[in-house]
Amino acid sequence: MPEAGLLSLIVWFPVVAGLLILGLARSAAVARWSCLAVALLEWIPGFFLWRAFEPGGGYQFVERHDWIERFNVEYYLGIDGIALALILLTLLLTPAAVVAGWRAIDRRTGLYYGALLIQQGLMLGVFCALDSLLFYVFWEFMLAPMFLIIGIWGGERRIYATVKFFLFTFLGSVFMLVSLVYLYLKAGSYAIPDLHALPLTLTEQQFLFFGFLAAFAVKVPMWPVHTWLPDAHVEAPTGGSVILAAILLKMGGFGMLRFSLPVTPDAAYQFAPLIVALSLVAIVYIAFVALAQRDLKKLIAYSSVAHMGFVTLGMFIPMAYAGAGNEQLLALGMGGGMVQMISHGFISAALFMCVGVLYDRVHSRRINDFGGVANTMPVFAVLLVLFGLANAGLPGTSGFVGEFLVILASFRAQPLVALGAGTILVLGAAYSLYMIKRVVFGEVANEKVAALEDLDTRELIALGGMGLAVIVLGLYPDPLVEMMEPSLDELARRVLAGKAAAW
Amino acid sequence: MVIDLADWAPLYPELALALLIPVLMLLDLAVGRKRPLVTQAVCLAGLAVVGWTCIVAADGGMFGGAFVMDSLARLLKFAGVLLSGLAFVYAPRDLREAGALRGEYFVLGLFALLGVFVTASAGSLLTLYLGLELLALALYTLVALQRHSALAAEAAMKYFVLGAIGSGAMLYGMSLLYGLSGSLLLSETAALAPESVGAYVAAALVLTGVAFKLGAVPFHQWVADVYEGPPLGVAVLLATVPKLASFALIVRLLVDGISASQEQWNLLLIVMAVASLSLGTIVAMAQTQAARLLAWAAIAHVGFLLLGVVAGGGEGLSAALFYTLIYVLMAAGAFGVVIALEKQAAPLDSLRGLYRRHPGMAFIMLLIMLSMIGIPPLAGFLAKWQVLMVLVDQGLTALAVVAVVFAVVGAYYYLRIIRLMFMEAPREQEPLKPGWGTSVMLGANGLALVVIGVWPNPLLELCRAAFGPG
Repeated sequence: MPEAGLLSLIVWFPVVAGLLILGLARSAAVARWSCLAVALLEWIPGFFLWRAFEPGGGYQFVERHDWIERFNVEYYLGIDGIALALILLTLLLTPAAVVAGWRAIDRRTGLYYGALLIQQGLMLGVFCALDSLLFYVFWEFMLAPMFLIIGIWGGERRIYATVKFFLFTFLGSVFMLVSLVYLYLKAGSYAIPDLHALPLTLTEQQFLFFGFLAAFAVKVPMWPVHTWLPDAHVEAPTGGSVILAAILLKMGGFGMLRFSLPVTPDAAYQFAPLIVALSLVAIVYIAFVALAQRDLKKLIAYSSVAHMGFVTLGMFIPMAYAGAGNEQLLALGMGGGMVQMISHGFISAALFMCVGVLYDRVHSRRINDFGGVANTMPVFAVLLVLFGLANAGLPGTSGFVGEFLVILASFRAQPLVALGAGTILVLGAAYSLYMIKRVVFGEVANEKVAALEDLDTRELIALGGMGLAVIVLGLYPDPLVEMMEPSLDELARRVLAGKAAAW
Repeated sequence: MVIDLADWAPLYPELALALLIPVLMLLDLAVGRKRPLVTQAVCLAGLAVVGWTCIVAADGGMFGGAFVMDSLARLLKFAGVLLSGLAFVYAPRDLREAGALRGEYFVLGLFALLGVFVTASAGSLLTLYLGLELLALALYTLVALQRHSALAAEAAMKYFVLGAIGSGAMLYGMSLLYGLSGSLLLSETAALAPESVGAYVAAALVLTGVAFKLGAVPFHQWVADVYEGPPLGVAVLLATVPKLASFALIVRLLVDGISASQEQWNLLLIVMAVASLSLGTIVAMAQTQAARLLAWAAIAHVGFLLLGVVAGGGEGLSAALFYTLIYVLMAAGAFGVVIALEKQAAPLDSLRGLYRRHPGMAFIMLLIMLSMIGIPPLAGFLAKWQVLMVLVDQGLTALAVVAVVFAVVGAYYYLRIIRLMFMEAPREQEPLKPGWGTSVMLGANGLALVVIGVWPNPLLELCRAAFGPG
C-alpha cells in the first residue's frame, strides 16, 4: 500500500462512509452491518500503517498542502509513535462500539451509526493533525456527533448530560483557540512543529499553558473539571460510553503531549506540582467516590477519572520533583501515562460494554438489581472478572503495566508520592472487587437475573477480543513501548531543554 | 449631447435595479394581482441580471466623488442581491399564510436593496444619507405590510420612531461634520482635526446613528419587536439585507469619514460591542419565539463583528466584513427553515421533532446552528476566528477572551434548537412539504456554510481586496 495519502484515507474513509450511511441507510440492518464493515475495513490501512511505521523516524506519512493560504493554515498530517498508538487503539475499539449498540439502538439507526463513524474519523483526525488549526477543527467538530449520540439515544437525563458535556468541553477549547491564535501571530504559522520550535518568554508560556490546560484538563478529565463525565457516561448509550471512555478522554492526554509540554515546556515545568496535586486528588478522592456508587456506569465513570489521574501524574511528576536534566525519567513517566491510556482504553471500553450487556437484558444499571450473575452467565462472568481485575491493576493484565510504570517514575521522582499513589491502588482494587462481588457472585438475586442469557456471538467476539488485548498487553507490552519510545525520548529532550533561555 | 453608456459603467447595478423596479410594478398591476408568483419569478430573473451587472460594473467614481464603485461596494452589492434572492424565495410561503403576499413586497424589497446599493457606494455624506433613508423607508413600509395585524403595526411604529431618532442623530452629526470641514465628501471630512470638540460631538452623534441602524446596545430596543411583529417573510429580509448597509455605513462613515478621531470613538465602540455581545447573548437564552431569539442573537453577533471594527485596520475590517457576510447567510438560512415550518409567529416549540418531520431540513438547521455557535470547519467559525486573530494581534487579548466566553454562553440557545429538532418528539406528525424552490435554496444555503468553511480562500481574498492590499 502506498504511504502517500494513507493518513487521509484512514481519517476520511469513515467520515464519508458515515455520511453515506446517515443519508442512505433505510433499514437498521443495513446501517449496522455497513457500519461494522467500515469499522473493520479501517483495520486494513491501519495494519499497513503499523507495519510501515519506523520508530524513531520523526513525523511519518506526512501529507502537507496549503489550505487557508491567507493565514498560512495547512492541511498537514503526520504521526509519531504516540499518535500511532492512539490511532491503533481507536481502530481496534470502534468495532466494539458498533457492536455495543447492536441491540439497544433500534430507532434512527442510520443517524446513530453514521454519527459513530463520523466521530471515529474526527478522532483519528485529531491524532493525525500536525497543523494546530486543523487539530482544532477535528477537536471541536467532534462535539457535534457526540452531542447527538448522547442526546438522542441516551437515558432519562440525557439532555442535561449532553448539554453539560458540550458546554464544558466547548468552554475549555475556546481558550485553546485563543492560545493557538496567539502562537500563530508569533510564529506566523499554525504548524505544530513550528510551534514546538517557537521561542517564548516564561510569562507568555504561563498564560498559554493555562489556555491549553483549560482544554485538555476538561477532556482528560482532571479534578475538579471532571463533573461532566459521570453525567455524560451514565446517560450515554453504551456505544457512546465506549467511545467516550476509551478514546475521547485520551485526547486530553494526547493534547498535553502535543501542546502543553513541548510548546510551553518551562511553564509546564513550573506548574508541574500543581498538576501532580490535582492528579493525586483525582486518584484518591475520586476512588473513594467510586466506592460509594450504586450505579454500575457511574462507578466505572469515576474509576475512569481516577485512572486518568494516573496518566497526568505520570506525565508531570518527573518534572515536579526530579528537576532538570532527567530526560530518561520524564520519558518513563510519559511512557507510563501513555501505556495507562491505551490500557484504560481497552479496560474501560470492555467494562462499559459489560454494563451494556447487562442493561440490554435487564434494563437496569443499579448494582443492587444484580447478584449471582455467574450462575446464569458464566462466560460473561469470567470476562467481567477479568476486566474488573485488570481495572484494579492485576499483574499480567495491561492495567498493571501502566500503573507500574507510573509508580516507578513517581518512586524515582519522589518516593512519598509513589507511596501514596501506590497505596491508593488498594482502593482501586476495592471498588472493582466490591462491584464484582455484588454483581457476579452470590446467590441468584432475582427472577430477572435467573432469566439472563449468556453472551451472543457478537458480544463474545468483541469482549473476548478486548480481553485478549488486555492480557497480551499485560504480558508483552514491548511492541507498544518500543513503538512510542523514540518519540517520547525526543519529546522529553525537547521539554527539558526549555524555551525561555533560548528567547 | 450624446450619452455614452460606457461613462455610466460604475452605475450599472443601480441603473439595472432602478429599471427593474418600475417594470415590476407595472407587471404586478397587469398580472401580479391574481398571480403574485409571476411577480416573484420576474423579480428573481431581474435580480439575476442585477447580480451580473454588479460583476461587470467598472470601478470608479461618479458625480465628483459622491458615488464610488470599488471592490467593497461590489462585494456588498452582490451579497445584497444574493440575500434578497434568498429572501424572495423563502418569503412567499409565509406571506401567503399571513395574507400579505402582494407584488408590493417584492417592489419594496427591491427599493430596500437599492438603498443598500447607494449606501455601499456612498462617497459623500449626502449619498450616504439618501441611501440609508431609501432603505429605511422601504423597510418601515414592509414591516407594516400586514395592515390588519396590530403586532405588525406596533412594530412598524416602533421601528419608524426609533429609526427616525437614529437618522436624526446621524444627520445632526453629519451637519456638524459638514460645518467643520466645509465639505460633504467623506474624503475631506476625514482630514478634520481630531482634537476639536465639534469633531468629537459629531463622531458621537454619528456613532449613535450607526448603532441604531445596526441594532447595537444601547440602541437595540427595536430589534426584537421589529423581527417579531411583521410576518416572518418580512423579517427574513429585515434580518439580512440592511446589515450589509449598516456595515457599509460603518466603513464609509466611521472609518473613511471620521478616521481622524478613531481613538475617541473606538472606546465607545468597545463599550457598545461588549454590551451587545453580553446582553444579546444573555437575553437570547430566555426567548421562546424563534424570531425574537434570532433577534437577540443578531445583537450578539453585531457585538462580535464590531470587535473586528474595534481592532481596525485593513485586517480588522476585512474580518468584520467576512463576519457580516457569513452572519447574514446564516440568518437567512435560519429564517428560511423557520418559515418552512408554516407556523405564524413561530414559537420555538414548532421546531420540535423537526428531524422526524423533515430530516433534510433538520440537518440544514443543524449546520446553521453549529455555524452560529462557531464550530469549525463551518463558515461561522472562520468568521469568529478571524475576529479573534485581529483582536489578539492588536494586543486586545482580553477582549478576545470575553468574546469567546460569550460564544460559549451563546452556544446554549443554539444547542436548545438542535435539541428540539433532534431530541424531542414532534407535536404534529404530518411531514413538512416545503416547495422545491425553498428546498433547493435552503440546501444551497446550508451547503454554502460548509463549502465556505472548507474552502474559504476566494471569499477571504475578496474581503481582503475590499480594503486594499495589505
